[in-house]
Amino acid sequence: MPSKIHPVEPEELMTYLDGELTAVRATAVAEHLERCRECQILRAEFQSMSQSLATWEVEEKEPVLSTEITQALDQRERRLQGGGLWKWLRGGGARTLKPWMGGALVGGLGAILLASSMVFTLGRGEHGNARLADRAAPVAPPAAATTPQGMVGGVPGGVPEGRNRDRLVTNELAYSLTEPQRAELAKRRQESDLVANLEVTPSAGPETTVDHAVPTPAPMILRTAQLTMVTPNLDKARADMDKILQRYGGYIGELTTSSPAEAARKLTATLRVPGNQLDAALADLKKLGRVESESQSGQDVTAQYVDLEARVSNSRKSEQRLLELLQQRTGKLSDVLEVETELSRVREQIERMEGERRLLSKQVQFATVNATVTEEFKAPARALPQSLGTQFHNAAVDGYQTVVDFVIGVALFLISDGPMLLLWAAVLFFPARYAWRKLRGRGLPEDVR
Amino acid sequence: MLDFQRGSRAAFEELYTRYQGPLYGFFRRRLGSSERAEDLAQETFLVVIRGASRYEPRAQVRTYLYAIALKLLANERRKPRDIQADEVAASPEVGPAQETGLWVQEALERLDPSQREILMLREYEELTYSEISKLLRIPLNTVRSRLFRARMALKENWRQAMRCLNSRSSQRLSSR
Repeated sequence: MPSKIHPVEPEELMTYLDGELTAVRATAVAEHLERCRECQILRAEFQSMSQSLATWEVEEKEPVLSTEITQALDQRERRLQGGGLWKWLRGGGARTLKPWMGGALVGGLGAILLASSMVFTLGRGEHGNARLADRAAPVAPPAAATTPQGMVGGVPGGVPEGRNRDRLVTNELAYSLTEPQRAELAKRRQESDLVANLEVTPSAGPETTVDHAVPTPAPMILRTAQLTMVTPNLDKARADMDKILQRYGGYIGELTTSSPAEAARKLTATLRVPGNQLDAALADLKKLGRVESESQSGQDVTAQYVDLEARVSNSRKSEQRLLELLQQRTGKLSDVLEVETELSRVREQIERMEGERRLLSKQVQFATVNATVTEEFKAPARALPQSLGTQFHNAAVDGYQTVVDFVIGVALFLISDGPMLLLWAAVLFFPARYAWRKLRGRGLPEDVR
Repeated sequence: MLDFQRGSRAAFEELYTRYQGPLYGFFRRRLGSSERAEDLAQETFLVVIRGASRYEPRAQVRTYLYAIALKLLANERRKPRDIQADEVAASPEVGPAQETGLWVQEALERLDPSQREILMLREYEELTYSEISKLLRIPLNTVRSRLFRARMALKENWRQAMRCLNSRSSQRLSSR
């Protein structure tokens, strides 16, 4: 019977026989089993298989507690009843200590605490959580790798080999964020999202809770000037331009010169001049030649700059809070990873905004002058025309050269491709002649073809 | 287990009496040495004793025990071959009880390891699908499908195993 139309799949039958089917399905399968011969055979096979497997028996062992187990039980009992250091302390053992021993003990403990706190503090950083995992390794119970998820406590460190420690560390990290920490994380996310939204809409309304209380700087004007000039001597103008820039502490952002054959030479430059020196620098630049056009513009970027500052400041606060959250790490690994992802996102945001801020600041600090300097065009003197005899001579020479080139070309073609042409001609000759004769004789009587 | 966690030695002894045999069987069927199987069964209980304070009753005790046993088994199998060979050599040879299921062992050995483990956990340790799923950390449906595939593969292996057994029997008879 094809399985497509069979109401009970073999796998379902197996599940039924294992007692793992739901009650409803089990009833249906039981009813089906009474009728279906094929399923009865399969059931018999499964049962036979189980019976056969059961023939592999192992010898019985007397449940006798070994010495090791008995010792371990005794130790545990002693521990539960209060043994070891506590018992010693209760028994007045501490009184037998010499004063210097106590001092050394306290000093040693203090040194250990100090060292561990320093290591802990230094360990914090970009990869703090990786280190957390490393530190957690010594306390991670090695045998917990195969412990079911339901057993958080896992198997203790009773497994002799410690070689699985690395693999087990991640399984045993007992991270679990508390509820207030989760709420804090959610709040941080919301604030970060708000900051991200502000990027899109810099003019966010006053209802936003983001702190914009950054001191307003002096007006920041982004100044740009366009200058087009014609100069009698481009080389001199170029040298003078360098001197002017040197004088005012500016520099060349970009410079292109062109010298076309039948046109005037041209220089196009983007000059960066300190904003407060722009007017003086422009006055000197205008002396380089005749000014054909000049324009200036100024864009107030104060608001944009202030907004950027505020966003950077808020993002830094978010970063700080996320770092604090990480340092209080007692969360699940997934939560810690989530915090780390958020942290890297905020850091990336900060770096981007810092970059924008620096660029804006630089643009304000240095005004831009787009200067185009063209040299006055001086047409070169033309040479005298050639004589008629010379022209005839030149034409004759050109003609002769052309004929020689043609003959040599044909000869070369025949030498290189001639053999192949001959071959094709030989191959195609008879079919072509046959076809030609057929075409010529078409429509004529048979005997005159 | 909870009684033992609270300090009852009698509870542990009951636990030991109930599960020592099954755990020995678990290791015995998976390792060549009966001594090693016994050691590992004892070691399982040692691990239980050491970790009793951290035990949380979120799964059945036997699932907990088999989880430890599986871990110990994995550690044992990772040991270098020469150490294992020494241990096997030091142990008694295959006993008559094992001889009875020789052809079953041969058929099981031909199975894919992941399928074999599930089949053995089901047939010999009599764990439920859910327990196997928790133990091996695989979805329940995967347990079902692998178990089914294992049984189907085993059915195919029966004939070969039976053929081997028949040929061995005939060889013995002829040698006698």
